[in-house]
Amino acid sequence: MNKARETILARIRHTLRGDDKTLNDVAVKPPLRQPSCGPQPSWQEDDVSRFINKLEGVAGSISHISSTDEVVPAITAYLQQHDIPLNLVNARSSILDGIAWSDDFMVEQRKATGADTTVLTEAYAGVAETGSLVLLSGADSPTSLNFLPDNYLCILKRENLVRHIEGVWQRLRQEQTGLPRAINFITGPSRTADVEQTIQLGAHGPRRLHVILLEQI
Amino acid sequence: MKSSSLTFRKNAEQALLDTQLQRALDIAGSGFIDKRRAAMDALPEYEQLRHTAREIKEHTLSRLDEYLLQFEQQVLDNGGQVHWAGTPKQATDIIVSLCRDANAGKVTKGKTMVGEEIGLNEALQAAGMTPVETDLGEYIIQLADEPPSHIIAPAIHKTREQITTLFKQHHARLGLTQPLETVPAIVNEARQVLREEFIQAEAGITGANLLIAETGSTVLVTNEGNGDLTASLPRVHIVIASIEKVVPTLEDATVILRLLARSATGQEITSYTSFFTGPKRETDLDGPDHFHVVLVDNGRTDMLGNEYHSMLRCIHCGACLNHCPVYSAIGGHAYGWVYPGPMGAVLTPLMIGLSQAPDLPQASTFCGRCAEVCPMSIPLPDLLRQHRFNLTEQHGVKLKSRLALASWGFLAVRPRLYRWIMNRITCLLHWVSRGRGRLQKVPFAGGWTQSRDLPAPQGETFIAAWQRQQARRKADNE
Repeated sequence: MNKARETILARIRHTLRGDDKTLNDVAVKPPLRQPSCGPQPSWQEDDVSRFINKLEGVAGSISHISSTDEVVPAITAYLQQHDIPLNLVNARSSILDGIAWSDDFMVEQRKATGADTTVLTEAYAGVAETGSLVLLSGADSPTSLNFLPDNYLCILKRENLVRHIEGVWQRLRQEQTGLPRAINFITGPSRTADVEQTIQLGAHGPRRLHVILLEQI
Repeated sequence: MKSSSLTFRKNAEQALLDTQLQRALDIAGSGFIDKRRAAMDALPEYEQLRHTAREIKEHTLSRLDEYLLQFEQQVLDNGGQVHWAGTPKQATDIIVSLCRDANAGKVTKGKTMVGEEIGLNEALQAAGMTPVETDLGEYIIQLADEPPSHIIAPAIHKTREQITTLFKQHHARLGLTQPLETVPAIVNEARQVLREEFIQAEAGITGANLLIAETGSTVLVTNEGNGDLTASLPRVHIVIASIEKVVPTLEDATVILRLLARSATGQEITSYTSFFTGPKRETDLDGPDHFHVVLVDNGRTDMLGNEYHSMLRCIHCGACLNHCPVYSAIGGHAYGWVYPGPMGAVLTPLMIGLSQAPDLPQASTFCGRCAEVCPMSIPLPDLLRQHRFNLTEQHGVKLKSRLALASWGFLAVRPRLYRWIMNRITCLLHWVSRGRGRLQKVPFAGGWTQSRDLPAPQGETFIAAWQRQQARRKADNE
C-alpha cells in the first residue's frame, strides 16, 4: 500500500505547505521537538500518602514492610485474610529471587496461564500522582502476569516511587535501554461499568490488587 | 457500516417512543456529568492542561507528515511494520490479509471506533474469520448485532434485563444456563466466556488512543484489561489508528492522558494505560511475534486546514455526548452512523457526505455545553453552524422559509407596523385560547404544536404592558 502512503503524505504536504515535493525530498531529522513537561497536578501531602490515597481510592490495598524478610509474612496474611490458596506464580527480580518461601507455599516462576489465581511481581516504578504501578515487559517480567490472574500482588520499593508520570519517562530516558514491548500503568484492579453504569471489579483482569511497599531502612 | 443518518428525524421520533431505550437513558442519568465535574473540581490545573493539549495537537497537525514519518521509522526500528490506508476498503484489505498471514480463524478485538468506521467486523466475517469483541460493552452489542450507541459506553442503551436475555440466547450452547440477575453475575459470565477466546485467538486487533512519534509506541487506555490481553496473548498484534492520533513525545501524550480519562469517566487515569512498542523481544516470555500498525486516513487529510480542521484535535472522550441535551433524549443510534452526539454530528457528514446526513447538523440547540466541556476546546456549535451554512449554500432555502423571512424582514424595519400587527395577533391568540392559557393547534405552526402546546399570550404584548405600567407610574407620581 505504498501508493496510499504517498497519497496521504502528499495531501498533507499540499495542504500544509502548498508544495508537491516527492517523499524523498523531505528528510525527517528526529527529534523534531524536545520533550517538554506540561502542566502537572499538585498536592500538599507527602508522596507516599498521596500514592496510598490514590491507590485506595481505586479499590487497591497496601501493606508496608521494612525488609525483604517481611514479604512472606505480608503475603501470607493477605492471602489468608481473603481465603486464597498459597499458590502463586512470580516474576523475577533481585528481590523476588531472594525470597525464602516457607513450605506452605507453592511458587513457580513463569508466564501466566488462564488458570493461575495469584501472581507476585515487582514494579519498575510507582506513581504518586495517580496511585499507579508501572510494569515493563521483559524476560523477567512477562506481561501475561499482569492481566490473567484473579489476585495481583506487587512489590514496590519506596525509592522507585516517582512523583508524576513524567518521572517514569525521565528514568527510562536516563537508562537509555530503549522502550520495552509493553509499558503497563496499572491503577487498581480491572473494572467495568458497561452494565447499567454500575462499577464492577474484575472484568477481564485481576479482581484484587495489593501493593507491598518496601521502605528500605 | 451502513448509515441510516438520512432518516435522522424518523430515527429520533422512534427513539423518543422506545420505552426500553428511554429507561436505559434514565438509568445512565447524569452519572458521567457528575463524575467529570468532581474530577475537574479537584484539578486546578485543568485550564492550563487544556491550553497545552490544544497547543500540542495544533503543533503536531502543522507538521503532521513529519511526525507520521518519524512514527513510522520508530515502529520499523523496533521491529514492527506500518501500513497506510486512504480508504476504508484499503484498511480492511490490509487487515484481512494480515490476519490471513497469521492463519487466524478467531480474531480478538479491543474497542476501536476506526474499526467501526471501516466496517472491520463485516470484512473479517466475509473473509471467513470470527471477530470477537472483548470490551464488555462491545461484546454485548456484538451479540445483539447492533452498532455502539456511545463512543466510550457502547452498550449504554441496553438494560440489565436485555443483557441477561442476550447472554441466555448466546451462552446456552456453552452450557451456561444459570439465570443472571445481578451485575456481578453478568460480568463473571462474560469473563468466563471471553477468557477462552483470549487464549485461543491467533490475532488480536486493538485501537489506539494516541501514537507517539519519538518512540513508535501506540497508547491504549482501558479499564477492563481486555485490550492488554488482546495485545499480548495472540501471535500477532494489529493496531488500527487514524492519522491524527499522533503526538510528538511521551510527555505530550501524558498531558492529553491527564484530560482524557477525566473528561470521559471522571477517572484521573483508567485502570490500564499501556504503551506498546514493537513485537516481543528475543528474550521475552510472552507477547506477539508480529506488531503491525495500520494508519487510516478516511477523510482526515480533507479536514486538515479547512473549516473543520479543529475537529482533528478530538480525542474521543465522549464528554460532548454526555452533556448534549439532544443525545440524552434520543441516545446514539438515532444519529445513524458510527459517531453520535455533537462530535458525530460534525464528523458524520464529513465522512459519509453532507447529503447523506443533512439533518445531523440540525440536531443541536446550540446551547454550547459541548464546546464548554471539550478538553480540546473544539468549537462544536461553530462547526455545526458551518455545516448548516454549507447545506444552505448547496440547496438554498425553501420557498416557505424564504417568504417567512422576507415578511419578517419587511416588518422588522417598520417598528410601528410591526407592533400593531403583533398586538392584533396577540389579542387574537388570547381570544382563541378562551383563557385556557394554551393552544393545541395554531395555523402555520403545525410542526411545533404536534408534540406540545403553545402557551397562549395573555392579551397584550410586552411593549403594550410596559407602556401601560409606565403611564400609571407617571400618573401616580404626579
